[in-house]
Order: sequence, then structure tokens, then C-alpha cells
Amino acid sequence: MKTLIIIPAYNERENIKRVITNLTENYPKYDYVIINDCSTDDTEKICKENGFNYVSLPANLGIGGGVQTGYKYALKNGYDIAVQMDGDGQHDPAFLDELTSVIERDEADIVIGSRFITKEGFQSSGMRRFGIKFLSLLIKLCSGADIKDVTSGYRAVNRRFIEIYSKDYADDYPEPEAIVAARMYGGRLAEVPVIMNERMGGVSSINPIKSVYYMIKVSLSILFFRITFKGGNRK
Amino acid sequence: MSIVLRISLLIGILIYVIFIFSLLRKKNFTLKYSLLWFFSALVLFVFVIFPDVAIWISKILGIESVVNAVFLMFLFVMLLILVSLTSIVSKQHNSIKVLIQELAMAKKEIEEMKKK
Repeated sequence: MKTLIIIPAYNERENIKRVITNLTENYPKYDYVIINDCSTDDTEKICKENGFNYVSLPANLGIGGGVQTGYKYALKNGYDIAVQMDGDGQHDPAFLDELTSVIERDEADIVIGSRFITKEGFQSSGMRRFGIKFLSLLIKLCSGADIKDVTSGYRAVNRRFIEIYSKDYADDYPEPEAIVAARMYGGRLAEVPVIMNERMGGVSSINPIKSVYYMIKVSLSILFFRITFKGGNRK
Repeated sequence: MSIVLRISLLIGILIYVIFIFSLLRKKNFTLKYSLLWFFSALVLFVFVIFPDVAIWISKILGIESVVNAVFLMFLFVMLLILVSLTSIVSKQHNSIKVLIQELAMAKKEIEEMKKK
């Protein structure tokens, strides 16, 4: 099946070349597209010079709008499977086959790569793990989806959800909300174990001060999404 | 409400309505969005012309000074306008997002065509 790897990138000059070279050399059967979310460093220049396949947003949209662009690109170019993978090297492409095979066997509509099943590799800090546990519980109560690693941005979706997500995708910190959305649209979710790395260069987009804001905002957005959902007419 | 307050409010409303009309004439204001502002002028106008309405409301709510009831009503109208502004901003946010995404993909297609 035609598979596209969506790689959102914001100021990833230190990582993007390594991530893409690894992908094209070791996993050439996958197409990819970099969504450069109006980076202020020379991410775009690196993409251009190396002949990478990229879409460059003329203004910064944030991770949600960026990833959604990837889904729109996948829809436009007729892909059957889309995989989100971070541009900072946290996600190992060695697990691409495992993510996509679940969809190829039509066992799920959305497959999430999870750090917390085999508990190997980078597990992130205790505080953050607690936060993820809380969100996981909240999502389970709101939608019935039993997902452990709800903030994982390493996930694969099938054609049906490429269409849905290109119409309806949250703006900020969209990963947990997308799980609730998946359930609301009647999607089948699956979680497969992956091993994540700690990011190698650059700065993560989430700092400790933002984390509290993140938790409140995500919790509210999950609740409000659940309450106000009516078949999805957002854009 | 004293007669002086009523006359000053009336003049204020008049200037306010003229101001909105001039914005509309200069096309700096979309008619759709001006309606709420005219509505706010109308509410204030009713209070000035029929102070009994304001007196009645203040009695029901137990507000001692009638002018405070007028302020309260106007605060609600302002709140309404602010919420409607947020709704307008959200709609525009979505339109702009779609524009940016489509523009980015169109730019990519043009680049690819140029290469060929």
C-alpha cells in the first residue's frame, strides 16, 4: 500500500538531515514529506539543498496545523496510509513496518507507537509520565479508548482517517485530542510497542512551565471536544 | 437619572451612531458586524428615552442607583459583543489556516512544475 511519512519540522536544522538520510537510505520503500512550519532557522535551506521532499508553510501554524497539512498532502496524492513521525530523531523508523502492518492487515484504523508497553528506551521524566497517565485515564473515561501513550506523535492512520484528519484536526498539542476524535468517528485504535530516543539536538517545544498550561489545556480540550462533538464540522 | 445625564448620554449615543455610519460609508466596517454595535446603541437609547425601564430593572434587582442598572445592562451588551468578536476571530483563524495550508501545497506544485 502507498505509504507516506509525515514529518513535521520546526527549527530542526540539527536533526532533519540525519533523520531524512536515515529514512531514505535504510527505508527507501516509504515516501515522506517534511512539513516545515515556517522555521526561523535554516531548516528550509537544508531541505532545499539536499533535495528533500518538503512543504514549507508561509506562516507558523503550530504542530496541529502542520501535521494536518501532511494529511491534506497525503489525501491529495492518493496515499493509503499516513504515518506521523517527529523530525527530531525521537522516533526510530525501524518501527515503521510494525505500525503500518497493523493497518495493512486492517486490524485498526489508527495505530499508536507506545513507549509504555515494553517500557524500553527513553521514558521521559516521572512528572511527565504521571501527566500522561492522567490524560490516558481522562481519555478512557471520555471516549473508552484504552491507550497508554496518549501523547505519542508516532502514529499511523489509514485512508479513512487521512480524510477525517485533513478536515478536522486540533491546533495545539493535538495528539491526545486526535485519539478522542478517532473514537468519536468510530475508529478502531491499536497500540504497538516502540522504543523512542531522547532528542539529540535542538530544543523540545515543551518546557516545564508550559507543561502545567499543557495539562489544563489538553484536559479541557478533551472534555469540550467530547461534549460538543456532533459529527465533526470543524476545519 | 438626572436630566443632564440623560442629555449627555443622548449626545454620546448620537456621536457613536454617526461614527459607526461614517465607518460604514468608508467601507471600513462590514454591515454584518455593525448590527451588534447598533444594537448596543439601541439598548442605551431605550434607557435614556424611557428611564422607567431602567428604574423598573433596578427595583427588581435591588440596585439602589438607577444609573448602576444602566451600567450593568451595558456591561452585558459589551460581553455579548466581545464573545461575538472571539467567534469572528476563530472563524478567521480557521480560514487563514486553510489558506496557509493550500498556499504551501500550491507553492510546492509550482516548484515541481518548474523543475520539469
